[in-house]
Amino acid sequence: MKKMNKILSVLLGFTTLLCVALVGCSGEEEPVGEKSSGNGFTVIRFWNGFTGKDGETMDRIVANFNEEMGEQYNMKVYVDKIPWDTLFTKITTTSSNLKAAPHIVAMSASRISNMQSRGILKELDGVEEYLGVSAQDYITAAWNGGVLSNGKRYGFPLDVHPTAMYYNKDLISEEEIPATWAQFTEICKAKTKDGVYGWAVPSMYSVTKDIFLNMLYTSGGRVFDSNDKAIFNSSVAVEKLTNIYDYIHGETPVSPKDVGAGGDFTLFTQGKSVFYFDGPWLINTFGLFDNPESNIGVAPCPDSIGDGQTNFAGSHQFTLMSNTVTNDNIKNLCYVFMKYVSEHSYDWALGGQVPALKSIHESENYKSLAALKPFTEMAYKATLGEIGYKYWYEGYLNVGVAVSNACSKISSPKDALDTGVRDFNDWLEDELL
Amino acid sequence: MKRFNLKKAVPYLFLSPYMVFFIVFGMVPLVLCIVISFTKWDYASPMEWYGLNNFKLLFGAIGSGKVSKDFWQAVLHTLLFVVVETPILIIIPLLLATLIARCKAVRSFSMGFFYFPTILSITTVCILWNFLLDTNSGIINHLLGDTVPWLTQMPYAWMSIFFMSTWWGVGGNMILYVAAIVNVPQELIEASKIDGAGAFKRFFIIILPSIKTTLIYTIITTTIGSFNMLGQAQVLTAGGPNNGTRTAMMIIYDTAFGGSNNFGRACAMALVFGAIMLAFTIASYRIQVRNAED
Repeated sequence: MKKMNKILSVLLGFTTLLCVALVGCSGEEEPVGEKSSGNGFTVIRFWNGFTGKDGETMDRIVANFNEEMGEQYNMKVYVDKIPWDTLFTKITTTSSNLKAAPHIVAMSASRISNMQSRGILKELDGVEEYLGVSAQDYITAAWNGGVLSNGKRYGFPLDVHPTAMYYNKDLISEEEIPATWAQFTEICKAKTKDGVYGWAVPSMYSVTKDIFLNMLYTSGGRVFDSNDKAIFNSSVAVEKLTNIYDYIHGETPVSPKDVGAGGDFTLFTQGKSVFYFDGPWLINTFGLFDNPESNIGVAPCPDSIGDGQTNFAGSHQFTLMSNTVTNDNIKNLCYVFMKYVSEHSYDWALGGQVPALKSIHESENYKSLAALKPFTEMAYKATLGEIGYKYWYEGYLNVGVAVSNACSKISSPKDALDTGVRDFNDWLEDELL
Repeated sequence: MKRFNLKKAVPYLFLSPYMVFFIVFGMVPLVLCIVISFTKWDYASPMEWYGLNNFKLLFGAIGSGKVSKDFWQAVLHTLLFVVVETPILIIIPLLLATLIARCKAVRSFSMGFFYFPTILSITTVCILWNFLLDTNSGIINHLLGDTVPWLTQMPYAWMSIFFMSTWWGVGGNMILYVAAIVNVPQELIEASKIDGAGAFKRFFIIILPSIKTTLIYTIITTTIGSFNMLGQAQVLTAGGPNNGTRTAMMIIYDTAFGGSNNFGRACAMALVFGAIMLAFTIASYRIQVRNAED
């Protein structure tokens, strides 16, 4: 019995030590940001949230970079794809862990200001001179999207992604495609019959807020004024949200009520709605590059590309992390990679994005991608909103809740927007305590 | 010098592997959470001492009152889920288990049938139900011949969450009950039959008291599980409409990992909510144990 106890004790003691060792040890990591004595190259870690077709495309671009440029610059880029929802959390929580933290992160321009204010991002000083690029090489919204109100650059433009209007060719002819919201309303009313709707307006946390912002910006409205005061309950904002509200709850509705998340897509693909709004990534979902004869077409959003008009869009930017990009050598290698991707962004276009570099749009290959044309036209006229404001993103989320509440008829458009502004101001008051 | 007594040390050595994990993944985070709750910290910037302000915000003593309103609203939503869903996830599996436990012919099939949804991830389940419950093109409304706004209006959003959670969670407890009922001595049941006890009487007088330990265990774990509800509201309704299905776990997660990463406030929320959960669980345990002793 005593012998048995001894054996058990030794085994348990060993298990305990093993547990402690397992907890204490971390897995073997690639050497980050410095020369690996074993491999002799510098490792750059690149994080992004491109998890669909665009993710596959980015992987291919990085693989090509490593093959073509890796030896010349004695570097290798490792990609980590993390869903957007968790990407920002991971950037924050790994910011003090140099073994795990990335050097380059692709992120939405709308998040740059907040990330920079918390010291997470490094200024891209001298990037224009080092890479020999300037403002006229890039789409204006994307180029300016990386510069904050202090005049310093923290983002290098990769793409622009406006929201355009897909339509079902079986339900509408090319001649009937609306160029203005007034025409859109009329054509939707005419087409809404026999179980088919003009546009199935999603009411919950969806693309509807981007359409609302499209309407708002092209009518001269804003989310924040120049003093960062929330003004998305202005009279023009109420008017535009009322227009959307009327599509669902007006005298002549063109949309079914209570369209949930994804419900608009389902109705569109079932041939039960004429129009559907979404970003360029849907081109691949609909297979429009491979099948130009598809029954799905795409056109610019109404009132978005004419003189004096604009549209609300997003833009992915390359950013550098302040904790890992600690010397000029690493910084310059990151710049080289960023420029390579930018210059090879025809491939990126195939992933369903509008590259920010203008010269790409001039190539015959790019011009042959007919489905991207409306998005490209919109990108040249796009605005990204007041993204230089640190709390822009929270304001944007409040706009979303207000639009959702109006579309769900929980509040009238005016009440929904007033509540949205009040909620944002209250949130800000608590945040600044 | 006192000699090392191996015999006395053996129990502790047996406990030590668990204790290591418990301390590293349980106690250390708890202590850190308490410390962080007194700070203002977004993980990236230096930690700033904040005193009791995070707690004052939660109780509406300072600030605009929005934090307090949102937090307690989310706590109420969670309590609603606990109060409604916990009994459902106890009673239905118990009834199903009673029906199939003694019937060998259908037991295996039924256990597999009802347990199957439990092995699916909550995300998969929510995506599936999102299609089924879609207002305008979902199968359920198609069968009903109506356009019930299951996910976009109240109270339907809660009804959808309850229904889906029941479908997803019923199998887990049922398996435990079947195992417990099968182990009830057959002689007891036979004796009660000879004494003229009917099915209902047998259930309440023989089966239920015999499986009380399992019952207490499932009540406590199901209560804790219901308090921790996150995935259903996050994926199926995104906390909507108008934050009407936003739960405590959601608001804690959003506060910690949303746009501004307010870890201090999130830790304070977690502690207050943890205290509520603990009080609820202890009360529930005591009531059950007292009943078991009676």
